[in-house]
Amino acid sequence: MPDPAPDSTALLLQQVRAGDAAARERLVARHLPLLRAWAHRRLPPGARGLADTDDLVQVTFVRALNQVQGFEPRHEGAFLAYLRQILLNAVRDEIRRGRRRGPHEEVDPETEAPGPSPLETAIGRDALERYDRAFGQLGAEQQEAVFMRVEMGMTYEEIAGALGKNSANTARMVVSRALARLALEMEDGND
Amino acid sequence: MTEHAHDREPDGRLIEVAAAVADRTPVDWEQEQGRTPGQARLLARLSEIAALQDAHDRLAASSASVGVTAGALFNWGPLHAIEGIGSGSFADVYRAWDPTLEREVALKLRRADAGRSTLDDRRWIEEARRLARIRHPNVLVVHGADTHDGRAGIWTELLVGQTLEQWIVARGALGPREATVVGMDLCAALSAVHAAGLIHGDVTTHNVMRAGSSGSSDGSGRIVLMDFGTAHDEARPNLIAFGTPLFTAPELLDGSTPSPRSDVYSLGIILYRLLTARYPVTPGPVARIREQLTDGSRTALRDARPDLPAGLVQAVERAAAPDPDARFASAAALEQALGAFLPAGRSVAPRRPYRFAAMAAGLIALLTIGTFAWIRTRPVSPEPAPTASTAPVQETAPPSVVPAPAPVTPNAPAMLRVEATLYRTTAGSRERLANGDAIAPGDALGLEVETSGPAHVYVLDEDQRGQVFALFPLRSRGAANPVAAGVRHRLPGTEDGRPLEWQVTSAGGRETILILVSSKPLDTIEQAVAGLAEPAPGASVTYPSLDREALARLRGVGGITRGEPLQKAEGKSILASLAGGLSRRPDGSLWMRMIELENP
Repeated sequence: MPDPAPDSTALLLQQVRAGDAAARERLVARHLPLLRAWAHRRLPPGARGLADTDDLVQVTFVRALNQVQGFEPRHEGAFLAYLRQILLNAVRDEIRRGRRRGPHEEVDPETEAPGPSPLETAIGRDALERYDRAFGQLGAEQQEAVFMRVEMGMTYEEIAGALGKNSANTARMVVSRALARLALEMEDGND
Repeated sequence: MTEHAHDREPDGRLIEVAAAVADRTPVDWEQEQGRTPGQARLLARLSEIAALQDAHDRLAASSASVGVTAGALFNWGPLHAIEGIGSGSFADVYRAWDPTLEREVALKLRRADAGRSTLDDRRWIEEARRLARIRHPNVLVVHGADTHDGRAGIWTELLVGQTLEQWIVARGALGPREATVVGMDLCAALSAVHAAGLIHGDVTTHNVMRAGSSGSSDGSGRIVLMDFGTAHDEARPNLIAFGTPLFTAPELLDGSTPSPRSDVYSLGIILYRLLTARYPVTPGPVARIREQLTDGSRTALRDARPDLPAGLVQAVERAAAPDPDARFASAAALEQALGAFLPAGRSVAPRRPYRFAAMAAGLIALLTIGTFAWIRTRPVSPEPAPTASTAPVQETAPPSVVPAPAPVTPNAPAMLRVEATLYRTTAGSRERLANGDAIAPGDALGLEVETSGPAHVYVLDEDQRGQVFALFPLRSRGAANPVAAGVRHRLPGTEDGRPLEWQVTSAGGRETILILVSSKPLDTIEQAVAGLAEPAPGASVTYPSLDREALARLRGVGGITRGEPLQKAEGKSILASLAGGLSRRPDGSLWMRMIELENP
């Protein structure tokens, strides 16, 4: 793999691991807004208010960075997928906590979910569950590709850089194959 | 052996369509039926992925439009500006990252091209530094001020919420109590500013935030005076160029120096606007506004809101008097006048309207068997028995909730007299609860009720998320409807001789409790609570919120069409709507009372 470009996420990660505070700040500033927006799409509006969602993302992110010492991502895409996973866990915890705060302690969580998240509203809960389940079946690189293209709307050029591919066209092929595989997994899990 | 997805390879056609999805090229899914049923199913999954991608794109775009954009924009001194969140006439505001404290802040930077001198910048910075010394819960916290790269800036706490202006536009005029509480918060804020030797100079509904919680310790609905940037910038005549003339004291429009009294005037206009959603004068050019303040065409508050208490009207009119000498001399004096309007002997409960409140609301829904001795005493301060011709407990009913729970048919023969007290039991003693009182997890609540005739009692609870729970009657537990006349009942009743209670199980919001007492069964309520889960004997019971159909029925009574979303409508709770609908229904003697409790 070529040397990371100056100020690339990969280089920043190296610097963060070396204890560079400035790199850490740049990393946060670069990724926080997109991840915050992503988390807002995943959380039911009732589960948390705007400010608290922001807080959740921020705390999760800072915590993740604190653990980055032991994390050696192959490239930026792996780092993003790692952030997605811990943030998704935090979001799910939050939804569960929201349930416990209510009167539903002894109520079947399947029937007593809080209101739908914006994403659930958009495509329906079943489809989102199918997607999430199938996503987990994909290999690491395919997960990264799907996340960056489908969920974060990154360009093929950005994805190529993040996956260490040599061209946007290669990244496009990776994404397309990942989506086809995802469809197979979704159908498989639907049997 | 069944073939699983990982054993199969996607075929070329599937990858082709997947590429189109990834490219965001529109796909005609009707045409892409697939040659085999298996292929058709895979294409259907792909269309779901496309829909998900589309949803992400759309939601990302909508959040971008409210200021969430990617990446750090630039660095300013130690701060990283992350995204623009607003701009004024000569300054821009950013959400920024403070790496030292690892938290987000609001960064306000003067525009480089604003035609200001470095002297102006220095004054601005000095001003901000003085503001930074003010520590008051209703004043924006200023963290610091400096100049970097030739740009003067101040950074402050980052608030998320609505301005008062946005709030008023969204929900309309406030009730007198709600407006009074906001006004008193602002009086306290201005007193702190004035005590620091400063004049705000631009107190408007646009410069006051109703902040949501920005952390668990921060209360929701906090009223925060902000935007001091324009306060002392320049000689006053410039104020008009960027200030808001409708809120500006007339003497300032005439060129006088700002004073505490001119800030009091602005606050008076804020109160006027909160109470009416209008201004005392017709908006227009500055000269026309100025004219209306003296030519008698100004609309008096008592004409705009004849229903308001006279004391409140007088206080607001005196604050907003065009003649500075006729005004309150200080914000503290106005605060005192407003406080006098509130019911005597009651401290101003920090009634926070929680539009932006973050945490899931706490609920009163877990029913437990009471284990403490039942104290057979009368309420601490028994309220007079409301009769059919008097509205009950007016002194504790804030105007923001259902008005006058008056009987439906004043001349009907079978008038129901009702005496009801909601109370909390703590360590064996009972305390009557009134509007605005705070409750907390672990509190046990009950309702004491006595009626002049056999009556059907219904108790509903709504949390701030708009979820409604039935507290009474409980199927197969506790007391049943109708309750007998002339007896003091304690609801929800008893089981095996032991009293039952409603227990507060979680915190974080506001609870609205609606008590309905009717001489006849209320079919709508009966139907709504009929489907509740049957409690298991001897165990704690949870009550699921009413289902959509039940809520739709309640909303039907409340006069809200079924087409509207079942979430809490902006500014109008389900129970308030329900109560409003019932009060208009002339079908018998009905008594109702709504109590809002804070569950912070």
